[in-house]
Amino acid sequence: MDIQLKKGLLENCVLAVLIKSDSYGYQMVKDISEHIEITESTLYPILRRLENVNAVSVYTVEHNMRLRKYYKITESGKERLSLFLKDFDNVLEIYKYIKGVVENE
Amino acid sequence: MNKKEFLKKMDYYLLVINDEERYRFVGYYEEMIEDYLENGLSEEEAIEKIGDPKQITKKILEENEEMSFKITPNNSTLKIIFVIALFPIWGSLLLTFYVILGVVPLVILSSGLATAVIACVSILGCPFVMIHYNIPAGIMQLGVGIICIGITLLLYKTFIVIWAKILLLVKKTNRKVVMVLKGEKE
Repeated sequence: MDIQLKKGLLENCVLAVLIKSDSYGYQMVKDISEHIEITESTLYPILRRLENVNAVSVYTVEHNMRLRKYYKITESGKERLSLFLKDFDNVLEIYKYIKGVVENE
Repeated sequence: MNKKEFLKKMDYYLLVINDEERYRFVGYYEEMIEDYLENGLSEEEAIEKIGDPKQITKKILEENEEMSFKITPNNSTLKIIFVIALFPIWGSLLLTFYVILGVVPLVILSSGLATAVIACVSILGCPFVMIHYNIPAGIMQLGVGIICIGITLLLYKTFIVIWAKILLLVKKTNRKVVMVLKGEKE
């Protein structure tokens, strides 16, 4: 898949996985991997970016005598997701158009 | 490589970025490794899954670098002549820049060596001073030696950090210089 396209999709996948419930790094990699390829190292910059734009918030929970960072989606993050869905309706329109043209060649 | 070495390497490669970011970054990976361990993997397996610290940090550093430098549009011949004609000026300036950069770690390193030598001589020599002169003088010499050990360690630590930052700065500068030259020649 095109890198830029994948980057945008991954960001929204991360947000989507947090809609169901707050989550932490390892769990997010596991859950997202069921839908699209992602590694720990690709996830980290995405989380930092989302944190910087306040799309997610962070809090720590004690687990087995160590600290675990949990991520939570914010209202702003949810808006980001619905914007993504809206944009993609447009993408779908254009996709249908292009596909129609190419297949009728 | 075990978890401790992995995290230590990451921390080293990231000395060039600020403390808070570096702390977060390494903490993220430490947490990740811990989670893998909890889920049955060994330290080696977890680290193999995550990857090579050098590659990972390289990617992160590249992403964070801002391309504030723009390639100028080309009117080739005049610019090539310009670059070549002015080479004595910008060439020497560039060289001076690198020399100054190199001097800083050199000074720190040699200071560190000097204090290390002072420390050795003072500590090894203090018994003789105690015998030949008097005890208080010998103790003072011992104290000086110990202080020098401390200073040596501090200087060494500073040297490591500054060296990492300078290497990155040199790489960045090289890249920008190459880009200017390439941009002029196209």
